[in-house]
Amino acid sequence: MSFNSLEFLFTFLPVVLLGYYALSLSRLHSLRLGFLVLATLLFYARAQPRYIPLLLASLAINYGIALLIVRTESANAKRNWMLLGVIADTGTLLYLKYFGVVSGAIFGAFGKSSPFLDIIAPLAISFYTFQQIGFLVDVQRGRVVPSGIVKYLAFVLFFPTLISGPITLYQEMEPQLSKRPERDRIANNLLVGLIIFSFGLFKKTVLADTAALWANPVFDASQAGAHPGFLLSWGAAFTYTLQIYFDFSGYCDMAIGVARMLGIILPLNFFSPLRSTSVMDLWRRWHMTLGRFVRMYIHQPMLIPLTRLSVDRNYGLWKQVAVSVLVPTFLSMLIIGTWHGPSWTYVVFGLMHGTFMCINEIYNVITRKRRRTKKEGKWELAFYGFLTLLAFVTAEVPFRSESMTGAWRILRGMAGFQGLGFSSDWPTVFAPGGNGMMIPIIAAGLAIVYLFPNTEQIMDRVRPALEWEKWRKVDPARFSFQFRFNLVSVCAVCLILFFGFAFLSRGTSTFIYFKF
Amino acid sequence: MAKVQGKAQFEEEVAPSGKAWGLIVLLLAGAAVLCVLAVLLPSERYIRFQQFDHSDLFKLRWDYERLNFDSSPIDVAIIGSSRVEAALSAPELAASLSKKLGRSIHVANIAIPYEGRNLHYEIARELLATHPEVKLILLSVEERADISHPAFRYISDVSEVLHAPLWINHYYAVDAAFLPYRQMSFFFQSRFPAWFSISRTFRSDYLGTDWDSTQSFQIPGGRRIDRYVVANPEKLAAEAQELKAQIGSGDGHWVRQSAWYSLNAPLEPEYSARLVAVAKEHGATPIFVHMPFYSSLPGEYDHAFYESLAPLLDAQPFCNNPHDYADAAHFNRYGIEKISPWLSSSLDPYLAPLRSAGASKK
Repeated sequence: MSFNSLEFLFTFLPVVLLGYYALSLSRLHSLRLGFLVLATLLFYARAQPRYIPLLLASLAINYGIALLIVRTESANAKRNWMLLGVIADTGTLLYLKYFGVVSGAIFGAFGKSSPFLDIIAPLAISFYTFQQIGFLVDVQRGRVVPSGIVKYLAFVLFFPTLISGPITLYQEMEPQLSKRPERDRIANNLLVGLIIFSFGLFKKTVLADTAALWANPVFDASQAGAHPGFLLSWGAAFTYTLQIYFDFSGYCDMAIGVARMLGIILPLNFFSPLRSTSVMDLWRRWHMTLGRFVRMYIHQPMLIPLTRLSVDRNYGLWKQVAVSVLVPTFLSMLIIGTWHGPSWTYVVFGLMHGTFMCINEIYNVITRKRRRTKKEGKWELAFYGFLTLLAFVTAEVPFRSESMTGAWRILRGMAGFQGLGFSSDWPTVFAPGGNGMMIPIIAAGLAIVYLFPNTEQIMDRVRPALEWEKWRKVDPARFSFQFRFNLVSVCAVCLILFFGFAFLSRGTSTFIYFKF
Repeated sequence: MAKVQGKAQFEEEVAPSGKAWGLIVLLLAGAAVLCVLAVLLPSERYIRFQQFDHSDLFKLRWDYERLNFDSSPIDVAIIGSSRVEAALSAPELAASLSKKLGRSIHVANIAIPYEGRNLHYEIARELLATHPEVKLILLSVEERADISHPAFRYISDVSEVLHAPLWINHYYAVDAAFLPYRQMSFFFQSRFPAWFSISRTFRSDYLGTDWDSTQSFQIPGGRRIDRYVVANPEKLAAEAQELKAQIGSGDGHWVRQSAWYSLNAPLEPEYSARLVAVAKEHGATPIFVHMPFYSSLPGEYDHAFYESLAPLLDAQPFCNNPHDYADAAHFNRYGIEKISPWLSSSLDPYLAPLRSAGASKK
């Protein structure tokens, strides 16, 4: 079941909200989390009922290991239990997500067909696996203590975040889940959640799905053997970048909105990343909870021993930078890229971003002294922003393409090797206005990105996300406006909700990140 | 570069409960009112029929043009799914009937691929509104039809979408929710037709009165529909088995649908009845025509239901020669050449209205 489906909007969500608050306000309030867990299982089962046993087994094993970690006194034993859990989780994830394709390639090399080709990764496996790995590591590190199976289930099986995140931490969810909703805040939370959800729905159905009308035909045709020209290739790369940004950030707004309707505040997952002035900055603002997960559980564990190594061996500046900064950064980006799936396109995406990040780090080291004494000017920042956007847009080409062959055709087009225009033999794009409309569509999308506040900035006054205090003053938009509890704001949101709902019936596509 | 700040004092704004409830009601009611206003936007019917110009359903535009812009009369119309679209040749039937009746008989095959009786009803309404002279309407029969036609929500009037059977129609909510977007889209398409590659006026490259969908043709997107294709017998048998499995009547006897199935599939009975009623109201005789799938057995569909509404002709005797099929559900040209004379002679008992219409004209 998807957030952008009539079934979710008119049946599932109202029933769950009604049930949750009816229980919360009654003497049966202790059952409200159990109710949420059951609702989430139903939510999941509507898409993939056959994977429910796997999901439940994963939950049981992880919670069991967490209890063993807590009950074991020896630090080594705790660590071993944690490692066992992490290996089991990672092994399951790798097996279900990669084994079919990898075995297919190996068998294929010997001219045989792999018997494992029908292994399909269950929906949401990455996200619930990451949450559980984070939980086990945090239990082992003593950051959190399991506080009951129902709360644990509600933490992992929380339908707003289950399918595609944001990836939450137990320590930020458990206190909120434990707290019984206050009667006086219910309407406030429903209203704020509904508004954030409306922005997400609008981003998905109006903006992302519109951009897709122009991006998809070019990527599909390139995959089929066409050679798009310069303008068309850049146009496709830009429209896809806008599509994935509005799609995923729209999904996250919807998740944040639905959670808020239940009185739960989620962490930020996007903060206008396309306005970033460096690739490093962009990754702090794009899929922020995945970045946090990688930083906490992959990058830092690599960084600490490597830094020690470089200090112990008394490496010079550049060797130290290479060992303690570039290597873990590059590997982290490679992991992020490869996590998306068993395809060379994702590996290349990771390699490109790893390279961009390393260049960014090296540039920072070179210019450190200058930047201490002299702040970057407006035009300098604009130039950095432009470069960052170009780098990101270029890396989206392999990310979107079904194969490196298809990606290569578009990248060659972007480099000008296949003519400069829209290509005269290109079939008409059956979207309003044809190919030429790409330019105004991209201009409009970028104007929304660069000139207007993001959803959370609009909702600044109502604490739209966890740790909002840290972000609320960051990168204000050129045209700033905020939601207020008055008629004008609600009428404006009315329009947003109306268009979001109306465009839902255009033939909306599933969220891009559902497949990861 | 984003400089994330440390925790600063931040007071969250909270609306009083009563005010928040009021704003929620206002927000939802406002969005609902906007939906209603969008649905009230005007739209041109011709534009609706051009929405599938680049798909398998491109013939919808020809249907509209044949009915609205082409002054040739229609005495016999063929309405239904691809089974009759591909098998019943309008020019061949027209020639045969003209010969029998001694005057020029005009036949139009305005059937559209995919099943969905609700679309057949809409097309019949369009036909009867534009060609009151029509005397016979031949209607396709599917073995187990239960879906809404994908084009129904595009071409029907708003009132028809809203007056679809509500209980229990799985398509009702989806079709009704589509209306605000559809009406906005049609409104803009009416104002800026060139942007959407459509036309508000009758096109110069009209396919013609006698365009025959039982002959080979090319879909505007480029795909060629070859009516001379002969299916591979093994593949044909496998496809037929699959169809039988879908129908759930392996032994050739009609298996009455369960109460649960019937409850969940109200469209076929409802719209078949509506269609027959509207045809009779306009003085046209509806006749059901069953084009069997390959190797189907007699009685693999609900004869009794269709016969209770109108006469039923069944081409079942022609279903056993694999050479006559393009795929398990569609006759090819070799099959059509056998079907055409059969249909002409099968219609003999029902030609009285055509005879009397001819006499009154004289």
